[in-house]
Amino acid sequence: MDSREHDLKVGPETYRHLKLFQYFGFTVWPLFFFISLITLIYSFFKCIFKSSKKSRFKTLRARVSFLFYPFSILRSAVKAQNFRIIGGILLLLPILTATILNIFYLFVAPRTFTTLPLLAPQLLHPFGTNNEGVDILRLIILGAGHTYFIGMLATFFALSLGLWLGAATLERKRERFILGFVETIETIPVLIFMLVVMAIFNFWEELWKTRRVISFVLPFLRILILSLGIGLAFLPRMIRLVQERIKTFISLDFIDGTKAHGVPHKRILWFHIIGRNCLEDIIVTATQVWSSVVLIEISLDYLIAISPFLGAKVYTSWAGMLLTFDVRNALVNFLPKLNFEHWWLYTFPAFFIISTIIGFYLYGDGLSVYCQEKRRRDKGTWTSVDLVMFDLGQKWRLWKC
Amino acid sequence: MLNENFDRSETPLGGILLDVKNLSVYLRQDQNLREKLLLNRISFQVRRGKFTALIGRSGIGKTLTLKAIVGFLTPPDWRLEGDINLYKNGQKKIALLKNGRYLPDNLKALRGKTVFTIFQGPDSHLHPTLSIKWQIGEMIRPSKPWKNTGASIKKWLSDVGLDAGEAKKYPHQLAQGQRQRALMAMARGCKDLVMADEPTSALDDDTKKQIIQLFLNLRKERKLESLLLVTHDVNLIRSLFEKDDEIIILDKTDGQGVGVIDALDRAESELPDHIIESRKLTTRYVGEIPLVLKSHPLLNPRRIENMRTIVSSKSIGDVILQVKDLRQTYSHGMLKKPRVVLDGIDLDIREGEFLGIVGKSGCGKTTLIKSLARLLPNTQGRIFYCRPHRKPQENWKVDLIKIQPDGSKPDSPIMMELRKEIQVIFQNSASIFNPRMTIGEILTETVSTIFGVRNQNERRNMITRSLLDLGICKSEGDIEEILKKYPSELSGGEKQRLAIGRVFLLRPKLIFADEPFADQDIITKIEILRMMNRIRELNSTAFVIVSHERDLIAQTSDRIATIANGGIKEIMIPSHSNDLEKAEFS
Repeated sequence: MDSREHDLKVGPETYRHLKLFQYFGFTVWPLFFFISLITLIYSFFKCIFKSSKKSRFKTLRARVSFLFYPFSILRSAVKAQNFRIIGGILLLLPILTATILNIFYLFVAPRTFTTLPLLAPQLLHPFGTNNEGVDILRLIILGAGHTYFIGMLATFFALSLGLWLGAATLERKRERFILGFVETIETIPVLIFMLVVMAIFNFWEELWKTRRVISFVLPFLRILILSLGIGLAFLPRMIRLVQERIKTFISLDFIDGTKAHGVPHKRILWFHIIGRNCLEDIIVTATQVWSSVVLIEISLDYLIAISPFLGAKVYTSWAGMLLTFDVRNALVNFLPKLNFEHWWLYTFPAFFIISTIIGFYLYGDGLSVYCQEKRRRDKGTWTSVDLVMFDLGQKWRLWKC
Repeated sequence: MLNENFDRSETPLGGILLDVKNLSVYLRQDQNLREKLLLNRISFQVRRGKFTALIGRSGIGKTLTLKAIVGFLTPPDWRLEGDINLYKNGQKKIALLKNGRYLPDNLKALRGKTVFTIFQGPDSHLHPTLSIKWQIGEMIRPSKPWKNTGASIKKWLSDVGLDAGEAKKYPHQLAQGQRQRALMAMARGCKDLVMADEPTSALDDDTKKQIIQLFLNLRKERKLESLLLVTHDVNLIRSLFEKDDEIIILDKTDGQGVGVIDALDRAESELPDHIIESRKLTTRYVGEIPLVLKSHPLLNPRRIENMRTIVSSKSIGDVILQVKDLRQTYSHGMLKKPRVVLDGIDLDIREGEFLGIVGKSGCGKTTLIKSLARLLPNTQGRIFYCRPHRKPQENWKVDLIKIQPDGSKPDSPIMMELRKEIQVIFQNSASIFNPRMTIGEILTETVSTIFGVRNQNERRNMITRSLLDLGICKSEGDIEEILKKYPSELSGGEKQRLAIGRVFLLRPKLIFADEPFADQDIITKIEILRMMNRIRELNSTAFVIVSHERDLIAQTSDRIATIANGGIKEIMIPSHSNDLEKAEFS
C-alpha cells in the first residue's frame, strides 16, 4: 500500500491519537477545575473569618466582591470609555466560553460521536459537520482548551523565569551570563526550532506509544514541550524588560532613602521596585506575549499538519482544522484547483483564530491604557502628564504649539 | 541683533507689561471630572522696567502661576479660568489666555522671544547632549540665518561673564554657577519679560553672591529690564530690588498684599497702612489663614537670628561615633584612577549634639554622610559606633566598616540592627518616598518590617503617638487624613516633616540630615528645627546637619565642622551669645 493512501485513509483509525487528548481532558481539566474551585472557596472563607477585625468585610456584597473583580474591571473600562479593553474582552469571549465548555464537553459528548458527513450549518449543528460526520462546533471547543492552555503555560514560563533572571542581572557577574544566554536565544528562529523539536518528539512518540505508562504521559509531554519551547522564545523580551525597568527605578532617590532607613535589599527589589512600580508594565507585556504565543502556536500547528513527514498529529487544533480534507487532498495529489464548496469547514475556525489574536492584542493594549489611568487616579504617579486615549486630540494640538 | 533692533522709545517704563486677571487653576483629579481648586482668582501685573517678586510659602502655587503664564497647564490635567494679556511695545495687546483657553499661536510666537523662563534647577533646563553654544544659538535661529549667530552668542556670553572657550562645553562640564550664567545668556535673547524660578536656591553662598551681582549688572546696563522672580528667599529680594519694585505675596487668605520694597527695611509696626490700601489689588487665594501684610512672617528677616531660642540647651553625652582616618574614593572603571573625595577625616560625634557641617558645594559633604552611613563602596578607615546603654561585653563598640566589608552580602543581621539606630534624612524631600505607596503604607512598613511589630493596633498606636509627639499632626482626624494620601499630594515641607517623623518612629541614636532646610521657606525651617529639637529632648539623639546656609547652622548647632579639599579644615564652637561675626567661616 502506498504511504500517501495510508495518510488519506478516512475513518476512525486516522484519528486514533485523539484518544490521548481525551485522557488529557479527563485528567487535567477536572484537576485544574477542582484546584481553582478549592482556592476560591478557601479565599472566600479566609475573607469571612478575618471579617471580625476588618470593617471592609462586614457586608455580604463586600465579602463576595472578589468574585466580581473581572466585572469591576469591565465596568470601569466602560466608565473610562476604554474601548480597547471592552473590544478585547468581547473578542476573547468565544475562546473563554469554549475553554470553559471544554471541561464539560469531554464528559458529556466525546469526540467519537458522529452523524452524517458534510452537513451544512443548521439548527442541530450550527457550524456544520466534518467529512467524518463530527460536529465542527465540538471540534472548535476541543481545540480551544489546547490553544488556551499552551498560551497560558508559555506566558507563565516566560514571565516567571523572566522576572527571576531579570532581577538577577543586578549582579554584574550574573549579568554577563544571563545576557549571553539571552543573546544566544535571540539568534534562534522560533518556528524552525519548534518544528525540529516537535519532529524529534514525534519520532520518540512512535516508539513510546506501545509502552503503557509512558503513553499515558505523552499528551502532557507534547503540550509541555510545545509551551516551554515557545515560552523560551519570549524569555529574552521579558528579561530585557524587567532589567530595563529595574535599572530605571533603582537609580531614583527614594531607593537610597529606603535602604538607609533599614529596609532589606530583597524587599526593596521585590516589593518597592518590582511589586509597586514595574508590575503593571510587566503584566501588560505578558498579555502581548500571550497573544504572540497563540499566533506562533497556531502557525506551528498548521505547519505540522501540512507536512506529514513531521508527523500529522494535531488535527484537533484550530489551525489543523483549516487544513480540511479537500485541501489535503489537493496538496497530496497536486491538484491545481481548490474546492470551496464546503465553506463552513474553514470559515468558523478561522473566525475563532482571528478573534482570539486580535482580542489578546486589544486587551493588552487597553490594559496598558487602563493602568496609566489608574495611576493617574491614584495620584501615585511619576509624571504629571500621561498620554490618555480620549484626550489625544487636544494634547496633540497643544504639543504642536 | 535682536535687542538692538528693539525700539525702546515706544515702551514707556512703568507701563503694564503682563496683566494676569482673575486667574484660577483647577487640577482635574479623575475621570469623574472631580476638580481641586489650586489658585483662586489671582490678579497681578508686571510693569515694564521693574522687578516683580512672587513670594509665598513652599507648595502654595508660585511655580504653578509661572507655568500658567507660559502655557504649560494644558487640558486634560488642568483647567484654567481668567485672562492673561501681554502688552507688547506698551500698546499692542496680545492675549495668551482668553476666558481660560490658551491661544496656541500667540504662545508659540512669544515663548523664548518675548517671554523667557528660567525654571528651577539649571541642570534640568539644559539639554545634556548639546553644547552651550548650540543651545544659546537656538534662541536666535528662528529669526536669524545660521551664519550670523556667532557674533551675538559671543556678545551674550561676555555679558554674563562666560569665556568664549566655555561655549563649546557641554552642561555637565560646567560648574553650577556657570550653568546658571549660561541660562542667563539665553535669556538675553528675550525682548521683554524674563521669569526666573528660584534662580539661586541650589547654589552655595559664593556663587549666589556672584549671580546676584550679575543680575544687578545686567539691570544697570539695561540688558535685563523686567523680571518676574519667584522665590522664598527674602534676602535675595533685599539685595536685588530697588525702590518701586513690587512684591506679590501668595497666601491662603482673602486679603492680599502688595508691598513696596521700602517697607521691608522699616520696622514692621511703622509700615503705614495707606501704602497697602493704595496698592491693593483684587488678588485672592483660597484658604483659611487670614493675613495682614505688615505682620507677614515671610517678610521678617530677623527670624533666623531668633532660631537659637528654639534649640534648647542640653547636656552633651559620650562619644557615640568615632571616625578615624576615613577615606572615600569613587572608582571609574578598572583602568582609571579612582577619584579621592574624602581623605583623612577624624571626627567625634557625641550623644545629643547638633553637629553642623558646612563647606562649598561639591566639597564632599553629602559623600561624608553617605560613607558614614555605609551606603557607598570603597570606604576605608575606621568608623566606631559605640552603642549607648550597653555593657562592654554586649558588643557595645563596633566598627561599621569591618562588620560589612565591601563585596559582602548587604543585609547582614548586625548591619540591619544598626540601621535602626543610625538613620539618614536625605536632601531631596520631593523623592524620598515611594510614589506608589500611601503615607500610611510607608509608615506601617517602618513599624512592621524594620521594627517587627505584628499587632495592628500596636502599629497604629506607635504611628499616632510619634506624629502627635512631633507636632506633625494636631489631632487623630488629621492623622487619618494624611495616612491616606500619596506623597505626590503633599507639599515639600510636609514631606520633609514626614521624613523626619518616619525616622523618629525607630527612635534612632544618630541622625544624619542632608540639607534638611534647603528649598524650604522660613516658617517650615522653624518647624523642622523644632521637631529636631523635640527628638533630641525625647531620645537624646545626635544630629549631623549638612547645610550650605551658614547663618542658620551658626545659630543652631553646638559645633561646626568645615570641610575643604576632602578633609576637615576646622571644628569650632560658636558662641551664640555674641554677634554672628565670631562664627565666621572660611
